[in-house]
Amino acid sequence: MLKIENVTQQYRDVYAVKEVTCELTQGIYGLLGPNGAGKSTLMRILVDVLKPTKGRVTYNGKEISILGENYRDILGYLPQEFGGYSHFTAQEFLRYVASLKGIDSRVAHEKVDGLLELVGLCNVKKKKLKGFSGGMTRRVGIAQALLNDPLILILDEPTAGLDPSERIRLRGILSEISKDKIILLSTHIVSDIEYVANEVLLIKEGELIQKKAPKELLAALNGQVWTMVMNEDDFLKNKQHLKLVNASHLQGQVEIRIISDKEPHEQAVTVEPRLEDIYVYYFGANDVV
Amino acid sequence: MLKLDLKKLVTNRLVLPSIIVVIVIWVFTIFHKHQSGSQKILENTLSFWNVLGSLTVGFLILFVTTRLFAMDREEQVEEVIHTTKLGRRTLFLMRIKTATIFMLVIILLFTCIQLVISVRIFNTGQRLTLLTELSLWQQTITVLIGTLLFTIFTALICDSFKSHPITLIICGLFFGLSYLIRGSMIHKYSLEWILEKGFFSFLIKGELFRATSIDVLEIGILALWYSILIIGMYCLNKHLRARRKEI
Repeated sequence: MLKIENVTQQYRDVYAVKEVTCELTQGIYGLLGPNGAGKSTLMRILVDVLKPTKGRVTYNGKEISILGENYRDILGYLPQEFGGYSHFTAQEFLRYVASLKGIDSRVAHEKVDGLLELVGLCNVKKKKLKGFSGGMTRRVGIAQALLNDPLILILDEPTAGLDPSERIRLRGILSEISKDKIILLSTHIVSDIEYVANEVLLIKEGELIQKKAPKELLAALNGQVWTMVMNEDDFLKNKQHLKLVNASHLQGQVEIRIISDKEPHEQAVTVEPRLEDIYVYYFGANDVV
Repeated sequence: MLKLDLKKLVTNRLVLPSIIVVIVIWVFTIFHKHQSGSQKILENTLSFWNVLGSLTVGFLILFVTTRLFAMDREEQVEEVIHTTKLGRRTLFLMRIKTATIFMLVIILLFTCIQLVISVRIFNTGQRLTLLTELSLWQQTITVLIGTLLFTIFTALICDSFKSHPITLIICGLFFGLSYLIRGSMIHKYSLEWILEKGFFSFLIKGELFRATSIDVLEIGILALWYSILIIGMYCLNKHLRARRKEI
């Protein structure tokens, strides 16, 4: 069990992470929050590359920084910024990381080839990383995180740059390997975690505001998600006052999806909430047009 | 790990051109001296490390081996590396080993080039004495020790600041000064003397075995100064790594 106790990361007067306390047991956790909410900072603390200003992280009762090598031995991590040695081929890079993870070279060779197959890079394994697209590099990053068959897998925006089919493939991989593992993946794209996460952690301005199963979060929003059609002029007039999830413009009319605890209009009808509505409910969506 | 780190060094674009340039310049120099007789060749042979050899070694250390310690950050793999089991202290020590092995091979290669071109190709064979060859290898050993110390020193600086340009500026400046501040007018143990000999150039230039007489006090003071440099940088590096949670 990974236990986060009162973890705070402060940069002068700014809190990147504020008093976060929670426990992570086996399962897939989705860390959801807008850009700058503190997701990456929290993840960097969890992988022991950043020392929190206050609080501590323990794994099975022992502090992770004291566990050191033993903790890193069961850890897989994909940071938000990941490049890879440009002059190495995908295969060489993964073999290099495998050796750093203390994997025997013979085992590593098989493991590397298997993972390249898993992430769909088998046909380009001899190609240098400098020729890889963003999505391909991201897949190399995912493969390196899985090399040591980690018990704790922390992926910071793993789907950034991946096309829809690759996203689906990643979801499949995560579901497949999630048994006996703690998997934490951060994103600000709701659909990435909608189908795979056992629990969702909502983080806003450094604070953990919710930690619940998606079903529970959705149940809390029952009867608060509405859809209606209104003309464009009315929409533009009232837009600022609405908690808008979506707006589809159709020949002078706009079909909107909004969150409201009261009936917003007599023509409005309630609909089933989705995780995307949860996101707007907690974080807002000022950029919906 | 070692094999792939060595590959990073060997495949560096600067390595092969540097070796070729050294060979070409040395062939021209020796060919020029060859016109004045084989005695001149022997005299010149012993001055290989004085400028050409030592400058190339300094260049390779600063632009090739040192980069190994800043590459992770440049290529955005630093956090991945630091979250692996052996990616902290073990990797750092392994990279020091890799850099020293690489430089060892370079020094031996240069010595062979020096021997083959100067002695075997241009020398008539009559004047090559055991003493000359012995003195050549003695110089090589001195150069080797200096190179290893400078490699470690630059590696510690680069790893401490995690920046190749900063390392180039600091180490390049001090190493370069030893070529600018030269001459018999320099007072022993003065600041100029420290700048000339203090950043491992005394050893890398092979001066120890070229001097007519060996000043034990001078060597003792330099040995002490080199130890202070290495130990001081090691302590600073340890402190900074601990602060960055890299130990």
